[in-house]
Amino acid sequence: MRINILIGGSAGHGINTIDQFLTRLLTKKGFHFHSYKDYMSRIRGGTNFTHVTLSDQPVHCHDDALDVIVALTSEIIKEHYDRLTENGLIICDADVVLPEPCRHQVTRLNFKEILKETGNTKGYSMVALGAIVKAIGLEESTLNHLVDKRWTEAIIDANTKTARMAYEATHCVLISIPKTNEDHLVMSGNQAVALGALAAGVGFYSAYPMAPSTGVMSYLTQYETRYPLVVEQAEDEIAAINSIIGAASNGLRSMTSTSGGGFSLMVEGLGFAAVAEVPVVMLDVQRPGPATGMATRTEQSDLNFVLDASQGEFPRIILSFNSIEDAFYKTFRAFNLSDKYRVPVILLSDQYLADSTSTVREPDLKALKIDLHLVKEVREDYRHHDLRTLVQDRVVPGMTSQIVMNDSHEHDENGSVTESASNRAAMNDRRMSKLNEIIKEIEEPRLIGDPEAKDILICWGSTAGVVAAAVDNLTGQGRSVGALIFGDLYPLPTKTLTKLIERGARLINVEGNYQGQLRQLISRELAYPIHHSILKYDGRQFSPGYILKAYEEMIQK
Amino acid sequence: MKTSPFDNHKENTWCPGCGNFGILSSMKAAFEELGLAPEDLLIVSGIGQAAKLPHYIHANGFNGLHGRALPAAFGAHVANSKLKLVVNTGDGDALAEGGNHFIHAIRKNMDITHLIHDNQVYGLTKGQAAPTTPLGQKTTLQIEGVRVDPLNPVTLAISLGCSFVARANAGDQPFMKEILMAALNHRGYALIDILQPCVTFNKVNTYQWFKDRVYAVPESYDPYDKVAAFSESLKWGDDGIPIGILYKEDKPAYYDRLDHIKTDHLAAVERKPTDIQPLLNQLKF
Repeated sequence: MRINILIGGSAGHGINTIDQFLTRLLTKKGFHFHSYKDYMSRIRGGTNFTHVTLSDQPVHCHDDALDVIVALTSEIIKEHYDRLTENGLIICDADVVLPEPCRHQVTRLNFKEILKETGNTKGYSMVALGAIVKAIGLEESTLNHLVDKRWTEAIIDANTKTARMAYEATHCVLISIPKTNEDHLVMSGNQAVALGALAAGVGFYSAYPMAPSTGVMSYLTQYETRYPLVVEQAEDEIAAINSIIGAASNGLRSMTSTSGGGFSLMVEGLGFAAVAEVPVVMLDVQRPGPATGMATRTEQSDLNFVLDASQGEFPRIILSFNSIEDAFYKTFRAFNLSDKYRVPVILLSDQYLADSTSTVREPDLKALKIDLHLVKEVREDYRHHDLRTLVQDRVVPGMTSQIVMNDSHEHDENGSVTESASNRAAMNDRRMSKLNEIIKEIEEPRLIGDPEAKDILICWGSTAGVVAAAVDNLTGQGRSVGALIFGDLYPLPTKTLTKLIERGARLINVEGNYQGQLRQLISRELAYPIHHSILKYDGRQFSPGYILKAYEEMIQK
Repeated sequence: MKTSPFDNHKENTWCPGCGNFGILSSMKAAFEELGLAPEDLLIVSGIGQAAKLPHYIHANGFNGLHGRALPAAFGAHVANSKLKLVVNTGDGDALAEGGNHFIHAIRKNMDITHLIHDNQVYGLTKGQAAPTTPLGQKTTLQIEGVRVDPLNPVTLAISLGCSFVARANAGDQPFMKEILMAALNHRGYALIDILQPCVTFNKVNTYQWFKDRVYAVPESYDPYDKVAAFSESLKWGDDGIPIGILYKEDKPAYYDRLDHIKTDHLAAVERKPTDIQPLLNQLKF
């Protein structure tokens, strides 16, 4: 059972604060939740909302139907009223315009009056919180937890008083909500990446601020002093990538993050890291492009770009995040893969996942192992780019008395520039052959729903959560449908896919882009054409309902 | 010929008579005199004739991308501040392709020595104008003469508050070695603009041309006087070209600004996944 609450207003109404406290309270009560923010690229005004989905089961996406709308402006009602379920509730400010006739239960609160009475002029978020807590049937004492370390006693008192007044004044309550009592962690997609990197022992993080990736840097910077970590805001993305190559070539785990526009500037550095065999981890939090595109919106349109970014040919690993929890583990794993194979690892996130928050099972840190693959003692027969092997530990300056050369040219086994034809071919063979080793560690896509179904939806990245919800819905209706969810994207794992093709499954790719870029990758690697696509490229995430509708239309044809 | 622990006997592709040879010799001599070993050093470069230098010296080397030597050097410095970092760039590498990085690298005051092999022309790409080519000077590409004003790296560095700014002449190796040693001993960003004749593409700024014009700043010169240094740095051409340490400023080096880093070798710090348990605990409510 899932309950969907949408809370919206203008920038400056404290929508973020509502989201932050509501999700904390829900976690304290043992609920699972998923929350995503829809905001405009501006500081004040506009329309912002947060959509919280709570359940007794882990949640990885929002739903179409809404059970509660909390509206601080009339625009929110105008945009979302049609999504309210029959028994849904509306909580709104006194001057919010509702449709006539309104067939739903409504609690009108005079936000300004309440705030005047409690002397808490900026407490819009607290009024909303008090009302929501009542509406979803939680006891008043839940509001005792409205505490934040940045607040003084006086602020806490005023906020609690405000929330309690709103609680009292709210009369509509949902009939049933799930009960649960489990312990979870709460994190956002960007935080999960930062934590995965810290768990992997990242020592240097350099990036240029760019929405929606900046959250990773903001989180790391808060804990810079607690760990031996240097977080540097670079002058541009070119500096960011080159500085992490400099650090990584000296044995320090290093990472950068950006969105597509910044990644464009990093492209030459990506090829340099690959040819010099310096391990780097790069995060691309996708937003709609090209160029400036839409800064605070989501899309999955950089797959083709990162697959082929940079001139020349070289091996790379591309991993996408299927959920917030997955973002933690994939980021951790990226560092080990990068160090082992000495190849760049590109992580693909997107605005939807990065800006979403959800409950996450606590990772077992003891089960994780850092493997740096560094040479710790002098090795007489060491060659920096050893043609006798594909996988080798590397020497870095200053760890032993051995010296080493890292070079952006084609080079010989010791890093010296050479234009020798035979060396060039041998070095290219060595680098490209690594893909044959890497594929052994690449994870096969996850097959969910009915594995024997004729129709198999194919997706990657954050679309996983929405597709899974759509498949749940269909199998719940007794329909036979499955989904193949890709996390690891390149080198493309093909075993499960080949089996599906061999048994004659009808593949339908579901992607947040125009071209069907995973479809193109599959076609390129397996020469297998996928004829059915459900695509979305309007800057917004799919919803389960969108997929269901598109799927029904498709099978009608 | 005298041998050095920094010789590596690789084939050298600089033109005979190139100013780079003098810079390389002075560098080796300075390292030796300071008692440095090849493993103590990391020689970083971008792309260009000057940037080939890491391949011609026995030491740790990093030959990166055109224009990007300074960000790479910064990362290397963060990872291991015990390494003596020497960055070799040409005028194009440092000031054209890498101009933005040059400005911001100076702001960090990281502990490196940066040599600009300033021959006022592009060598590797065969004779086009550099950011330091004088207005009106004809080149293989600017056939009617350069239309844009030249950039003075020394003046720029002083204006940015670079903590050590010097100029040397590739034709005077003993002097250059002294400047190099002072730069290597400086904690912070030490910039040396090296006047370097290009015997192939620059027929104006020759060894003789420089010899006739350079003068060492007198002993009475106060490198800590920023306004005077700025003014001195503007002198050029027939008015004389000052060489020596033109500017110094006492300020914390990059690592000295990292109060929380208690090691000089960050890459050697042992890290465990369980180190982040306290952060996970903060995410429980």
